[in-house]
Amino acid sequence: MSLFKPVELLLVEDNPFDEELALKALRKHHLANDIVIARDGAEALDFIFGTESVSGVLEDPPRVILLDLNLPKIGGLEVLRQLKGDARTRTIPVVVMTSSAEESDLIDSYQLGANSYVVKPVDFEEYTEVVRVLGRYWLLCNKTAPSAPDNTLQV
Amino acid sequence: MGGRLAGLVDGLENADPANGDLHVAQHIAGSADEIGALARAFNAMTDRLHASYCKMKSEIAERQRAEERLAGVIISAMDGIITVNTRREIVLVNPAAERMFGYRADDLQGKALDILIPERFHAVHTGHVENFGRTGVTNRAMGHLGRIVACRADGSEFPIEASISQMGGSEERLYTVILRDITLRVAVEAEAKALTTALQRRVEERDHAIQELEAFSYSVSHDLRAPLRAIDGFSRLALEEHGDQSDPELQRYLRMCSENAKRMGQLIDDLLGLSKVGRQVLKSRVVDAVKQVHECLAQLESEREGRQIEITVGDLPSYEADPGLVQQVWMNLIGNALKYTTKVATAQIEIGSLLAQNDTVVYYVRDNGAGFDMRYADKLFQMFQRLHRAAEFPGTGVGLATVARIVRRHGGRVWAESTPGAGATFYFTLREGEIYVPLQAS
Repeated sequence: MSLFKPVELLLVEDNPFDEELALKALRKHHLANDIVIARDGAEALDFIFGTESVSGVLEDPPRVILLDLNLPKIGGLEVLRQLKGDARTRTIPVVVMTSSAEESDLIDSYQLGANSYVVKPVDFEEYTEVVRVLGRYWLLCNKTAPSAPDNTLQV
Repeated sequence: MGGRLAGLVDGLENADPANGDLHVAQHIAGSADEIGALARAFNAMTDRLHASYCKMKSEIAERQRAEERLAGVIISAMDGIITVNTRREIVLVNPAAERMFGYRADDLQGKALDILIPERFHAVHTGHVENFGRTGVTNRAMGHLGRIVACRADGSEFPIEASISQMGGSEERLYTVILRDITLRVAVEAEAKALTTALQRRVEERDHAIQELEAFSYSVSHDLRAPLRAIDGFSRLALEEHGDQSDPELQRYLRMCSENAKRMGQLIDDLLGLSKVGRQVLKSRVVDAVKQVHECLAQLESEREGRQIEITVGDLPSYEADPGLVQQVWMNLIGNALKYTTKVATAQIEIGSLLAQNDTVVYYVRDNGAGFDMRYADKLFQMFQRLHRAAEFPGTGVGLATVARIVRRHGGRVWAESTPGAGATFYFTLREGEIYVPLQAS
């Protein structure tokens, strides 16, 4: 994790196979330049909000966060709650990307302020296509909110 | 004078008091002297006596009749009746009480009432009666002793319900206790309570099972799909990245891996859909059936592309049902009709309705496709049961199980008939009631 190089995409994914497939799909479409991977909810929050050793919220937030829901330690919905509940991180686009097509997860995610909700297809071709579309849209088409002056943590 | 006095005495001796005839002979009473006056006075007195006698006689008879009626009531009463005096000694026991306690009335006569009550309740019961004696002022006062435990001659105990009243003012005061054996009622109540408890437990168990099922489906939805994606993904990557170097057999294996992973993914999705149908709360409203069928046909457009298909939509009355769920019924049935007609030159699909005898609308989807063997008709609507090989017609065997579950949840029925090679007709209703089953389609 680097604090100095801007990160384009934060992938929060605990399943190493899904991670590898996502990276393959992104690379195939040349969309995987600056990706950071968090393997559970706690890692994701530490990356964004800083830890005791590296304090302070990330200065250059990622253009998009791809967030799985079923995560060890801190679940995806809790990560979402904290990101969207904090004025400094509220504007970072979060795409929930999960295996769950459960209605309750959909409702909860949108209630918490998710910007998009995508069910991971089982079919790898479809999966690749979804990752490509997401990558193109959020990394190339979408314009993110400019960093607010108070976007950094006052220590 | 002496002869007339003797005649008076003689008349008195010969009078028949039993018949009230105490009159002195008229020839004596008719004379004007003192003896005559005495005889007349005597006759007047006997008249009064006779009247009083007659009155008493009829009163006694009336009283006897009343007592007989009362005795009849007491004897024929279904409830046990026991009368006790203030010393709580038994004065009267009716046959119902004899039967109830297993004693003869003679055996109880004069015994203490305690003989009929288990020893451990003696004190309490004495208290009840004494309390009643103190408070019950009038003859009609009726006290409820409620449920008490009684004791039969053989020592067995049984529950009774008792009420008490007191009688007698100037004479000795008596308490009458009316008893009802409530063994049966208590047993029935206990059984009802046990059943209620059992039912409550089952409801709780069911709720728990539903919660577990929800957790299970959630977990299936999350956890089973990820490995499948990995299986499909990596076998695809192997093919993509190394396909040109590997031998054709290996490539075929990899394709089979990926196909089976996808098939299992489809199975999981269908299963989740089925479990959702069971859990979901019905949100019923009036639905325009024709409109809904046309929406389904529009959604199935891609399945119809490049095929020769004749679809007729007949008269379809609206129904009150959960629109989303019934949509799934039509999608499945029409989708099946499209699928199983892929091998006929011109597919003919007829969607219509019939009116059953009791005004129940029966909807149907008829096709001229592959059909099925009626011998296996009962398997059609069971989960994972298929009547065709996947190579012939793809499918997971969940669609019709889902249809059956949706229809059942609406109180309706689904059934089918077919002649192999000549097509099939699937019928369903969406409300409760007996339905007439149409004859085999010709």
